[in-house]
Amino acid sequence: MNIRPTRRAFLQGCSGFAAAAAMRGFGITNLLFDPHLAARAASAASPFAPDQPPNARDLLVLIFVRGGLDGLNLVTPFNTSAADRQRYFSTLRPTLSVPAPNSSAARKSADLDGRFALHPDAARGVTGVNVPNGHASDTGGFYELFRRGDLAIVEACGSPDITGSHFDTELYVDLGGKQNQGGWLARYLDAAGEPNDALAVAPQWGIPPSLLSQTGRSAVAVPDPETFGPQWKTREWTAHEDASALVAAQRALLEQMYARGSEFVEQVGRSALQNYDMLRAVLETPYSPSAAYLTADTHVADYGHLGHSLQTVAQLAKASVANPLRVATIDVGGGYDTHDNQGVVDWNGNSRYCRLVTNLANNIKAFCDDMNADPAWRGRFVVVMLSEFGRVLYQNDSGGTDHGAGNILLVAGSAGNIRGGQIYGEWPGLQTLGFNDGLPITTDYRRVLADILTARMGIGAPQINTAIFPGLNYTGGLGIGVAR
Amino acid sequence: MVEIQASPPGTAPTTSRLTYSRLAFGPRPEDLPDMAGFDLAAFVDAQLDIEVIDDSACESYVAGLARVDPQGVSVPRPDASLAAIEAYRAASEAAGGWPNGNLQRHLWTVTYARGLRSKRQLFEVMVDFWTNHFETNFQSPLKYWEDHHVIRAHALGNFRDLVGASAKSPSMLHFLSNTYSDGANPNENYARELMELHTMGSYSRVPGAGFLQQPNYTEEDVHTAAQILSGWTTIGTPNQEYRFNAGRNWPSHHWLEKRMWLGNDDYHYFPHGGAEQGEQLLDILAEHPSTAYFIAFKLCRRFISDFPDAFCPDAIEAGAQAFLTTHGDIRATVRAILLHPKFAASWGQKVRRPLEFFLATLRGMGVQEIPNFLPDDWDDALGARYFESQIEMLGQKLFEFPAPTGLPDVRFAWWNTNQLFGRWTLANALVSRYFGDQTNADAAPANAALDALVGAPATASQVVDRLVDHFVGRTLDAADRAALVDYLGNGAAQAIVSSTSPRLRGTLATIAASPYAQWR
Repeated sequence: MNIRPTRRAFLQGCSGFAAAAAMRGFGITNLLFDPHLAARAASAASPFAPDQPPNARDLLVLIFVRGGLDGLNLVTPFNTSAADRQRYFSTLRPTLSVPAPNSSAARKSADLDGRFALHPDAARGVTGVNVPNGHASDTGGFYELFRRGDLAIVEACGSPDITGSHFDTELYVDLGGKQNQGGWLARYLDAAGEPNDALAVAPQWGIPPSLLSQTGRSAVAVPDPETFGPQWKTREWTAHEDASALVAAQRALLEQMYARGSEFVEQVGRSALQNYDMLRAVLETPYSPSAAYLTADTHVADYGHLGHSLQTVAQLAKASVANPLRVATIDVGGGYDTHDNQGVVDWNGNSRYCRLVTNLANNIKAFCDDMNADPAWRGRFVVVMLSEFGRVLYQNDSGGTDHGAGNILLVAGSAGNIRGGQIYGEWPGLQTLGFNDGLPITTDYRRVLADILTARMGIGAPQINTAIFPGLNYTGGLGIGVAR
Repeated sequence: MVEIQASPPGTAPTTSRLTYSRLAFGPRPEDLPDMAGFDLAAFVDAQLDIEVIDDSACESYVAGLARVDPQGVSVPRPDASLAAIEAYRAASEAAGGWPNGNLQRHLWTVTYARGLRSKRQLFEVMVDFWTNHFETNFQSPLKYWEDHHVIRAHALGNFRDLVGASAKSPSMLHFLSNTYSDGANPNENYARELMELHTMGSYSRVPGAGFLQQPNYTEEDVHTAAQILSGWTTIGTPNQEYRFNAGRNWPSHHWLEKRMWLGNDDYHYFPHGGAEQGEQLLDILAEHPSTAYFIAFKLCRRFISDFPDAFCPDAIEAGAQAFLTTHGDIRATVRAILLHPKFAASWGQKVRRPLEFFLATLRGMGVQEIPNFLPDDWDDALGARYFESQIEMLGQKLFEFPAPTGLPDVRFAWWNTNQLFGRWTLANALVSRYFGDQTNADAAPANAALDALVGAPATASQVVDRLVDHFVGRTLDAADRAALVDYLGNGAAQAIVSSTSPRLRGTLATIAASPYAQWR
């Protein structure tokens, strides 16, 4: 494969995968504008937004790994039972298992709790972990977050709406249940009483369905700080100040025209024009992150999208703007749909899986460190990482894995706002194959989200079932979030 | 309930104008006089009769496009054989070039040129439709072959022929991994998408109790279909041609008796091995009622509404019946949908995709030349490479969508806060490239093409009305028209305007970037 798309093309690609979820025939009317809901949400919203982050509620960053992450090789059950050991290393993954922590392999997993261990590229920088291709962002990754209590791992997590289709399952996860209307993050903003123009960002080319609102909210897509906004482009005169006067004149005309009506086209255009000055000012201000993000093509397979995007989130969050960032969501791609040649721990040969893991671990760690360096945000943010489904427990004949079921879900927090350093969820073992021969699902991903929303995000438990996840019948979470 | 009826600001367009916006990539200035006395049925029939449309001017333009890549190697013609493409790939790599990218760039030039100039506009729209429906990309150079020999060969032909050609298309065999699949432990990637995306859909689309509830297949069926299709490969051929690997050892489970449920009352049995059983599977899928409804649904979504199940179920029904009656005749299906009354009554249901915006703006400008994307012209601030980067920002770089769904035909997937800035910038850049750079805010060069487009010399209000006619084709809100006239005439509606007027180019780009021009 020698295609060489640019990073920007890749951004579009990642969110393209999310966009593909938005088109599935089944759910598409779930995303339509509803004037009745809009009226209700508008009357409920406070114009002063007293509960905005970082003061009264946390910033939520949702990372959606599109394509079906092989969580089994990221958090490996190397010692959950003797029978599991036999199954994992010999029967299910004879050539696709990550060596156990006590093996003699040069690259082996890092023990978390005597039962589960992390892929070595999720523990880069930890003493004793073999690290090929070292990088400044190798500061311990998920292992260090887990060790210091800032990472909770939920095992065997997933959606009860799972199908074998990426696109159906992704959409159902984005909707928070297949029968629901609009995206669950948008419904959260409604339920929290956030004003209609509350800042919700996808630092990428497109808006995933989780942020599509039925009440007239428009999330902001910021793909590329360098080229954000309109330009008057000529061969010689582009940067001249007269040209910006022409853009300003055009903008005034466009603002007038996009101000009309309640349709999606005009509504999104209005949001773009309204947020432009604020975002431009923030993005043009030089930003020096307090931790090293990982964007090098030598290490990651998404052209640096996740690293750049998380840095943009931190930059927007830390900027003291009148309309602070409430939620952000990032779609991650780069080849998680590992049907063939996924690789295990070898950076020299089939290194794809190593890059996929390194990207997640180093960048989420960098984001946490970057945010923790700001006292205003320390203890005031939560990162959730999930994927639509895990993969088949056994490998296929192409050196890959097909679409499975249960998967890990990660919650990263800060300064004691979550009960990290633990592995949550009921481990079903590897003896029974679940849906599609994947890991059986024992925890509904929405229970974890509800736990965070109620503990950290200003949501009352009744609102979970009435407004955010109708159909969940939520009666309590796993206790990951520490109540404010 | 949610809103299905939409009402964009401004008046609704005439049926003729709606038709040019939906069945073509927008009207060209020379199309506008044809709209008097418009007859939809006659227009559709004429457009479907592609064999009698004289498109020689467009095809000779395409044939005359320079095909020399940056290393000096000639890219083969768009209808080249796999052997010629393979020869080019080897020559390009030997010269230190990037063959896949060069082939992709030439295919952009050709595709944009046809969208801009072809008189077979509905055919070009259908090519775009099937390109997305059977999405593959330039991970391999084989996409270049597929465009001509699969998509264009059958775009208005028979669906069974199209899906059959796609199943054997080397580009598809690679894109969805079937080329590597063996029967013992098959790779399910292609088999799943064949059923989910290309034919039946995952749930029944046949109206009735099972509509979107009844699964069309089980997970076991996916596995079985993958076994049935194992051995369909390009491995072991000199130029990546399709072949059936009949070796009994390799696709070992291929030869066992199979059965599939496929959402019917009865099982389908596949008693024999061989390529025939794959053909039999394709026959069953192409004839499956849910396939007829799924294809009709997607065509309605392309031509009528983002939400066809809610807005035009009768048009889906009409298309599906035509599909079933004719055993997959694409022209008959398209015709039934376009002549259904819901088509002409569907204003406000569709928004221009990035490609449609780009081509409609160019066609509205009346230009004839498309930038040649093959040479490396980064030194030209308004060269093809610049437009490539701008098109990339809009999110529809052709033949590059990563998911097998293709770019969704639904506004949520691509109309976002970036899109306005991207379209606005692109409109300004197109005006500068084709009508000459403004030198400063007070001076602009004379340009005959621009003068002809706006009918200069004319008053500011006349020019605004003419531009609105070209790019919007309906009446704006009165206050918006007044603001545009006020800007162009610098406060005087009767001011005389021509290409040297410093505000004309900005007015044109603003109208092209306005919400009015985004509705399709």
